[in-house]
Amino acid sequence: MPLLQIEELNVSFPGLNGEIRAVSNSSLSIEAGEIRGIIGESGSGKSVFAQALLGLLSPTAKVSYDYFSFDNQLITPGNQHIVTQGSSIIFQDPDNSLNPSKTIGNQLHESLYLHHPHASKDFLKEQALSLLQDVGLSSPESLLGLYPHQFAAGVNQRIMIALALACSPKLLIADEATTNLDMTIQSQILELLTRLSQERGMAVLTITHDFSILTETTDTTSVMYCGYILETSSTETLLTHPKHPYTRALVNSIPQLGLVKKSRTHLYALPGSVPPADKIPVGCPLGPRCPRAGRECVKLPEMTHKDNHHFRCHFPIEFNLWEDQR
Amino acid sequence: MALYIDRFGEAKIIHPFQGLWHLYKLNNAAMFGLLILSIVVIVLILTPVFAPYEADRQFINALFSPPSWAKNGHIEYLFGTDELGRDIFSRVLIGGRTTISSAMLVILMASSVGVTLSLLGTSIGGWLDKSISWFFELLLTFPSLITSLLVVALLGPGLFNAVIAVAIAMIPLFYTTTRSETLNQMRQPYFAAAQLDGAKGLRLLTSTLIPNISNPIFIQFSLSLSSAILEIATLGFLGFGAQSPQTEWGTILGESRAYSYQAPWVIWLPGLSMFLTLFAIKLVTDGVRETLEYDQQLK
Amino acid sequence: MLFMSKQFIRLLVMLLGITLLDFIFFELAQSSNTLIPVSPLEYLSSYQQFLFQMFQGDFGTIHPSNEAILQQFFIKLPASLELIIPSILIAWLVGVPLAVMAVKKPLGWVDRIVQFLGSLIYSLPVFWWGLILLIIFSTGLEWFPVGGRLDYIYDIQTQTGSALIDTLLSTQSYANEAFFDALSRTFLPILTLAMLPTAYITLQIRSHLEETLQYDYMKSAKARGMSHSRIIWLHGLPNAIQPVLNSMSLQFSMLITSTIIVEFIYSWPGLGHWFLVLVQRQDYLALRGALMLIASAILLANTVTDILKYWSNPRLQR
Repeated sequence: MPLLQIEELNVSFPGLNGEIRAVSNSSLSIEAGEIRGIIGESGSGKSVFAQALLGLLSPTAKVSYDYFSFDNQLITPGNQHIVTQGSSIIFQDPDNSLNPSKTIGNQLHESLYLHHPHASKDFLKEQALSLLQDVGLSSPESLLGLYPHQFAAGVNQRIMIALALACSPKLLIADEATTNLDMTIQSQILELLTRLSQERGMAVLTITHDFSILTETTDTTSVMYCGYILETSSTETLLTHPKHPYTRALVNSIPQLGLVKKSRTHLYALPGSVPPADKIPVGCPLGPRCPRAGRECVKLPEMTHKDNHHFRCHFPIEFNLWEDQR
Repeated sequence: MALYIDRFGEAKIIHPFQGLWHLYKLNNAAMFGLLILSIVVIVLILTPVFAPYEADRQFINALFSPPSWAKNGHIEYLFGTDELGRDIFSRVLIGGRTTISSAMLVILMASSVGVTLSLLGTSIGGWLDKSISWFFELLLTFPSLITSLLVVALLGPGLFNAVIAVAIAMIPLFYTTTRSETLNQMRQPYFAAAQLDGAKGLRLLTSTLIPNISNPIFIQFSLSLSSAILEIATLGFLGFGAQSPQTEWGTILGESRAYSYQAPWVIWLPGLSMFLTLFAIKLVTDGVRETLEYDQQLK
Repeated sequence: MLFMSKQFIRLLVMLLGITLLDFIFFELAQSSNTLIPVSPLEYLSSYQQFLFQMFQGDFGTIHPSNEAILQQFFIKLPASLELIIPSILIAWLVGVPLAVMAVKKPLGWVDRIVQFLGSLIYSLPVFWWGLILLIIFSTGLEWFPVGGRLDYIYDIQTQTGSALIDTLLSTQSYANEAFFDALSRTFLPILTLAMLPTAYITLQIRSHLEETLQYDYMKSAKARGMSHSRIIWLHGLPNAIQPVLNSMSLQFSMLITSTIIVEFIYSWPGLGHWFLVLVQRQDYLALRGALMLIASAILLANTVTDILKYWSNPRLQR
């Protein structure tokens, strides 16, 4: 039984010229302790998807799904809080992610208190210190009385993770958590997340637009475009045998260093640009831009499942990426 | 020129103002304000057509006549009459003209002095600039009413003196807004780029600086319009502004204060018109500001 | 500490500037009456004399009665404070909960009503509103007395200038009655005065709160299991109040303007009313001293708000 399973999630917002469909017909399942990835360009709906799972969207959003289960419980709009309480989320910009007017000791204390309402002050303080140490911060004692603006971005991100762990979540969502960080710090944070996942049996959902992050940490990844999850498979398969043209375009656009086939010296880009959120094409969202599109593409393709490789495409790619170029 | 995609998905090139107008139309409150404001403006411009009588014409046999919709009201005195038998509707219209035109005069005077001084100051720089800005900062700590009252104390009561007083009180506001915007824009990279391109002196001022500070200054203009109206009316109400027989909204309310028990319509009808005008101005200025902000966001 | 001393010095410098402006004002007023050409040196010595006088506590006297300005100032001040302090309290005590209620469900009917009423009240001219209240409640329903501080039949000695305190301190037999009479007369003026600040604070806090709630840390806090109310009150508000504190001096200006008008309408013997009478009489000598005192009070209040702003914002402390 997967830790989290959601089928056909749809999220839309009221917009200026009609509804904006941020997420459409997207399904996801995460096993306990698994590290999953979601990759997509900016505006593909990844953040909205994550926040919809946790019930963090503004009340103006319309959220609907066919099936949603978390931790062996059926989730309805009424008991959404089960998911909210069992998960945590960390964001991209540490400046915005920590309350600037409270010390981090205060913030840690508060979150821990909510999770252990009857614990003593000393116990809570101990927990806070151990959390800070867990995320790799040395001499945590001295950090408790300081404010977020007094730390560097990398340290703030670790503090964010510590805060997120305070409620012992079963699922941690990292929404572009490393995008703003320097390369070295980025890999440190990724290592930290992997270690924490293993130690605590905690599932991690990494959301990013950078493939290199996923190859390091995740086993399975989903690809999102214009609010649709188009393909889900093991990360390796996505890189070598993508079935969906969009995935292939994504993969092809990664500049490759080192050993590379001669024919892959051009960067490949799909024609056109990502459509604005209120003008998503009918049917397959990639339709107008896809080099393999045909008449069937005005109808949304069904999700095909082929030994753990799920994709929505009428004309999937059947060959190995490395062997053939088209 | 801006690109606009209409309902049918076709792209058209339209003038930027048209685009802003489309955005503005979506704001219900702002459109309502605009409607009311247009009515006010039309009525005030066409006062000679709308006002049945002169402001100071007294109808001796119709003192304290209630509004036309009340029990003893007469239709020829739409809003009723006051203690001297003057038709309130005409007084409201004529007084409104006085108040609003005085307010516009105030804004014109205050902004020209304030903006010019500020631009001069920032271009010249040095200790002159610093001392002038310090002087205006000091003035700004006072509520504008106190400053205008002081000027009126020097000059004596009267409408023209009140206009000068309120204008002097509003100069610091225009000065500081212009100055902070100017300093802000001067720090921007494009400013340095323009200077490197060779622009200097007057050209730098007119083609580089002024177009970019005109937005906030315009917003300050419109915000100050309602303040100016209020200030002029307040001075009139307190007895320092327009004096009888001059008609001005504040003066009307001030004079009729003593009779508010016998004839409450003398108070609440003129006041209501003033309030509606101010409210409409506020809705419109808020709407314009939101439209401009939204437009920026879309970019 | 360094900050406090800097603020204090700034206050002194501004006070000095005000004395200069005040002096110029007085000279301008005088010169319109007499045309004696005076050399710059004489101006300087007059200015010096002016400063010395103030140091000794002599701020001039009012023309006909020869009462000392300084004394009058401190008698009228408590009467104004009787109106100002409750208004500020009402503004915050009513404004903050209203803003929170409005923000809980953005664009819900509570929110729409609050925003609409707020803009409405904010554009209400104070003097019109005061008169309307008078008409409805005093002359109309006769719930409250029409004006003045205390009924004439009570002869209460003026000790502090605040009628509420004076009636309590009085030893007369009708002291308690007088107290309630004074109290009843405070209702309408405070209601009039408090309207504008309340509307302002409600609208401002609501808008900043809405902005703050969009920030990521609100979402992560919610994901950590914090209830919505807790987030709004303990996390959202402290951050939303910041910008409002920054505009405190603007609010204070608005409040002073309204106080002058309210005191005029209700014949309230406070500083505003006093100032208006002096302006009307064109008593320049009295105005010179009165202006100094009123300006100092305003500057002091501004400095206090600046210090408050600094203390409440941890970011400014580094």
